Amino acid sequence: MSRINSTYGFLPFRFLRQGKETLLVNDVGEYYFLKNQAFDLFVNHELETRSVEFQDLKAKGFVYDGYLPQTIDLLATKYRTKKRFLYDFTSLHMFVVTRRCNQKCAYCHASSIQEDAGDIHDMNYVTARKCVEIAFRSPSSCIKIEFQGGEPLLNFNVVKEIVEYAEELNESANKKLEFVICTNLVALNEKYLEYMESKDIMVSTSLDGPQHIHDACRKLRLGGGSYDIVTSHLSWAMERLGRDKISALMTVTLHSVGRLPEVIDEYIKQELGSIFIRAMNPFGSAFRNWPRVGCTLDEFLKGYRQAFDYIIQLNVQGTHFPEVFAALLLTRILTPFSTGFVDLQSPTGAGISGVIYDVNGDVYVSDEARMLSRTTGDKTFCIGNVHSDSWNDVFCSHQLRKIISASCIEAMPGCAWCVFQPYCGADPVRNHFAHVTGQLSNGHREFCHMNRSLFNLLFDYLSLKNDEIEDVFWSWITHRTLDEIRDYSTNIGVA
Amino acid sequence: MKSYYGKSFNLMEPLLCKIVLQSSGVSGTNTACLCSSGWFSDVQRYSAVILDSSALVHNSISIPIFQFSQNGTPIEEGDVVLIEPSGLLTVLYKKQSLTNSVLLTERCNCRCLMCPQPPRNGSEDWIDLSLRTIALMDSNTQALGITGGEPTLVWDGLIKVLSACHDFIPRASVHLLTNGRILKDYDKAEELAEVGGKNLFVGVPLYADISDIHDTLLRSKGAFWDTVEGLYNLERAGIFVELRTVITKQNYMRLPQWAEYVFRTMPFVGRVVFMGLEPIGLALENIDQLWIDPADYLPQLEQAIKILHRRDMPVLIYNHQLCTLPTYLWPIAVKSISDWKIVYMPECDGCSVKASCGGFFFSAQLYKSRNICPVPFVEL
Repeated sequence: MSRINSTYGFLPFRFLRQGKETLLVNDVGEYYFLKNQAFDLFVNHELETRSVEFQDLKAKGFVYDGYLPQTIDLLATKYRTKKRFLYDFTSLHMFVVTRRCNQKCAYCHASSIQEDAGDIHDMNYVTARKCVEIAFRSPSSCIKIEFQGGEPLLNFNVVKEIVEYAEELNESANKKLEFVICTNLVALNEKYLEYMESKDIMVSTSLDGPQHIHDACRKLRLGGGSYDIVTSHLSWAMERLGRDKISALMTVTLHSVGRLPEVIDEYIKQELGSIFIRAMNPFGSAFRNWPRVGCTLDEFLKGYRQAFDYIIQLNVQGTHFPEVFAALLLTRILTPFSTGFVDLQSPTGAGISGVIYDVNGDVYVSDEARMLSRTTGDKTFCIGNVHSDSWNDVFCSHQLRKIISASCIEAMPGCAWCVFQPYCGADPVRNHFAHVTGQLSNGHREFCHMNRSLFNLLFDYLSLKNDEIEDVFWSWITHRTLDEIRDYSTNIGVA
Repeated sequence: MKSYYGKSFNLMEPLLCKIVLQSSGVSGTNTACLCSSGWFSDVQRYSAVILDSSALVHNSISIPIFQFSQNGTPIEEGDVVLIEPSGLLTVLYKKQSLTNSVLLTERCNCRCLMCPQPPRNGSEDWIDLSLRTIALMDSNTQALGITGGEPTLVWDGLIKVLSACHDFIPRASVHLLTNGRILKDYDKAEELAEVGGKNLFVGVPLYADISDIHDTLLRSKGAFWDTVEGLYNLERAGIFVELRTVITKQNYMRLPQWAEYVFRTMPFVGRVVFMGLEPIGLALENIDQLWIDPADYLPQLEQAIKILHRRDMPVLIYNHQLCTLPTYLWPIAVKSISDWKIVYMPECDGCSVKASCGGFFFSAQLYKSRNICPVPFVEL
């Protein structure tokens, strides 16, 4: 571009015209709305450098009119901060302690099998210890061990073995060590609760909404829906472990997509502090049952928007209740901080942020990678086995490098010039699945359409520049109540 | 620092001493005995004697004497004072105060439009006096400021002063005020961290989110980026940073953008401070370019503070009278003016919150907000 007669130069940014305004976003995630007319002046080097707009753009690092080396150094520091999650390496270690489950959910993507299928479907002690050893080889200063399944409570002895062996290794490793158990809570008993309490284990459970919605998909193997037992065990667990130790997520299906406010009401009734509204994952049973329970992406997005509006309303009225995914994206948009999230980061978090160990010790880069293998036999994303491979074999493999280097959206056609790129990420496993099955030939397009829609929704809200809504967003990002956001005597500078 | 005129006797050169009472039994070199009035005995044990105006000075006493020209003695046990042959007594340290500071130099590498203490380039530095003063301070001192001029210009002296703080007042939080430009050399920031330890807090002014405004206020091209680099080095060295801005006609319009810039660019800042102008020194000379009534910048100030508080950034307001701020901001409005500079206006009589208000700089008589008024009783 010609810079003749120009007093300023550009720094890298992307843009999107939205109605009367143009949204600009730069590599470090700073954004700015510029009136279309001002944008045209700006890109033609004709924006008055004394204007507020120019000064704003300069402060945010979109443009410079001197001090270029200093400006670039500052952007580099901010970029490093944004990508800080890469320094941590693999901190999330998921253990499939059993493939057996006492539920048979219509959208199960994990392809679980019946409860009495025998212990060849369980992780054994030897494998469990090998997995813990590999997990502790990670250079990450924080190790989060997440128990998955199947239903992990069905192989609780191995859960205990993993917890205790991890604690033992941590005596010399001195890492921040956390445990999360992903359970439907059906098999919960006093003994398990006592153990979870003593080891400070957090619970992540599933609740799809009120009974008629939850029971439509979440069935017990013995017959009938699981709502009654799940909700009674949920309040029991809350009472024993504390509300803050328990979170829940839901899967949107044909049954709930048009009535998500009911789901949200149910969450609040159950005293859950937040919700994670997830679309169905097209693996396992979900893949087979899609026509029966799945909804289209457009239905999901319409439902999400309705749910989000409803959540905002509740929050404005004083109920602190974030939608977890939106809160994550808002943290990316509104703060300089790094937010690794294995399912949406660039490069992908597969393997380098999170990893999952199957019952036989196979190591997969993500839960979806394991499901891909279970669904189609495709082991593209299996990066080793704890019995035959060392930490180096698994995590320094050519195969993992290839996956990671192919997942930098900064270099992907389409993503490279997308205005939302600094906030987005890649999901190579899902892309691969869509590609090889041919059934979801538009895998990336769907993934992209979904994320773009969510970003658009959030930027629509941000462009309102509404005080109440911004208060709500910041209460989510900073984990404070709306009262604290508005009461200056709570400011940490006062203490 | 407050100075008093009086009379000096038997004094050939300036004498630095710590105030002691006869009754306390403490004596020795660098002690000055405070004799309220009447007879005093055994004074040879002290380096000097301090008297109020009513005492009779005996010719028989050969040690230095300072006599106040007023009734009473406005100093207390533990204070450190400098007595000069000309009859001047300067209080360098007040034991009971939390706003003590030492001034290392009057030289500066900026010439800020609003500098309350005009730099005097070529003037002598005060390292030796500062070191000797610190050595006389109470070992339980809670806080000490280090100011200038620009204290980092006398680098070796500054390092000596910091290590004196470590030795003599180990419990004090040491608050260094610097424009941070010298600290764009990382080794310097690291040296500060090593010598200052965890007691060191560094206050750095950044007056705008863009270089043009900052450099204009500092009358020094390139100052903005020097300071930004200095701030990053302070963070890298692990030093607590208090970031300050003084609100003037030049920069108030961009206060909200400044707040956003601080959060986005230097979220590590331990405290963000909005300061009212002190209309003295260069600030008074340039007052037309600087003065804006707080009533007129309140919308921008409120917005900037809202931005920072939402982001969970620690934020405080200095040098603002409570009646110029909405009550919801009172919790973060600090009594920030040094004890010896505070005054109140006639309007303040009958104000229900005078006791918790930071008052005015004594220089603020001519430049005060049109909103100044006594606050009627309010329920907080």
